[in-house]
Amino acid sequence: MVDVEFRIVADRREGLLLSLGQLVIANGFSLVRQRIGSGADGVVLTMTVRGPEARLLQLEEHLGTHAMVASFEAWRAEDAPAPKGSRDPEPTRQADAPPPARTAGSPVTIDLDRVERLLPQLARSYPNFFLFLHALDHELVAEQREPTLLYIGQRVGAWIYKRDFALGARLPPAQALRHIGLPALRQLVQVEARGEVLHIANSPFPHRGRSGACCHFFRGLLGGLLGAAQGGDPVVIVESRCRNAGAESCAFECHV
Amino acid sequence: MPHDHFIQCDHDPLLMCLSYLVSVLGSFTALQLAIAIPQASTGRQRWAAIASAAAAMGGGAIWAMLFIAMLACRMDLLVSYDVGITALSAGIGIASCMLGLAVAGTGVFHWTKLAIAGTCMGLGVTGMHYTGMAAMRMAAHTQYDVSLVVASALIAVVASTVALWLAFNLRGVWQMLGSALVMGVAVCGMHYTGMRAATFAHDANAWVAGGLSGTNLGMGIFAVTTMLLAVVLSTSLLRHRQRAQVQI
Repeated sequence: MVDVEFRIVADRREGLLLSLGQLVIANGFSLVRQRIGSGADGVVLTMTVRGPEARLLQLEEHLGTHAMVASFEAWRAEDAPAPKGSRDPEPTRQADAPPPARTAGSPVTIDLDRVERLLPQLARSYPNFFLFLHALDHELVAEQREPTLLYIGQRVGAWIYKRDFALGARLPPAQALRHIGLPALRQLVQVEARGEVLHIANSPFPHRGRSGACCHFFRGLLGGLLGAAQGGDPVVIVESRCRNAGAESCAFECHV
Repeated sequence: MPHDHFIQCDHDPLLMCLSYLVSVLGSFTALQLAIAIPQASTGRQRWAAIASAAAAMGGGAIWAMLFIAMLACRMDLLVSYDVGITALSAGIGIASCMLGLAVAGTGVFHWTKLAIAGTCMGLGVTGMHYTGMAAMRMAAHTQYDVSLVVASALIAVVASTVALWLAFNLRGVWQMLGSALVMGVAVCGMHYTGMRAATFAHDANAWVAGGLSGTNLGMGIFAVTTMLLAVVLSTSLLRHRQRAQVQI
């Protein structure tokens, strides 16, 4: 278990604590204490949460993409900075442009300049962009790999949604997975739906000298696609099986 | 009643095919406009999208198809159409489509919503057909086989529901073409079943004076079809441009 303190900047106070409290709980954390006030940059919510370290990255992603969050900073509770006022409020993440997953003590940053340069290339090459991703994957240090590929996947997924899937009704997650996630992935890989799980038969990421589930890009892509389809509501994509861990196919499930 | 008392309606196969094509074109236009309803960011945009989609569906897919099909019906009888009732039939179609599309395009998809929207649309098609039939002015009166009338309404409701499901739920080719083809089946299936339900019997006392002639109707249909084509073209160009401008 880990205690993490978040300093969240938002535009409005109404419903902020309720909404983010639900988000924290939905991600398996509990709210230890919270304080809400006003700062130069808007409404500031400071909250300490406790939960499994393995899910911290996921919680940060959801906070970063939450519609009410303009920016946030996070650090381990034991490393909490001096009282505000002495601190320069440099946002770590923008609500509409997620990532850098960052906690003090174990800093993981994404090279955003590089990512922003890469994204237009991916858009131009779509759907044949895996060479670019492989090159990036190869060059990234181990700690950066997951957050970077996840972030790129989210951006690509949100882009594909706006481009090809935005017209039509807002669908419940299970239907969105089948009617949006499935056809979107078919442009990239061999994929089939078995129940409410998508199975990718030929993900290009496994067997590259690493262990464990490794299709972070597809996790991000489905998250971006389905998150956009849910009107920005948080969607958690779990890679429940991966060929890199010996499975026959890489399986993805959607949880809301 | 002697057999020669009844009037035979022979359908021109070419005009029947044309009526299906026009209903598909109208449905395609309407559903392309309709699937943008959930994207509307203001109430005004939303109602504009609903109204334009309903006008394309009611005025294009259903109304134009109905009157092409009526022209396809060859009877040895002079037929004209009452202007007021013809306009009323268009109004019924447009209003019921507005209601159906407003329900289908609101919030998160749900089967109940789909059933309500499909019923509104189907009954709109049916109401428009039978009101349009009532607009006929000829030296004959019309009798209906009730079971076939019910069957025609069921066809319209079921096929409209399927078409709305395809349009709002799916993405890609099935969303675009499948929904329009099925909606065309809803409109034409309903109409031609409705025509089977109708029996025309000579009636020298029936009112035949005035009304829109077949030629006038043809001009109206031409105008509606041309407008539908223009809307389809401009919508697809606009969507193509918007798609190209989406930033990653």
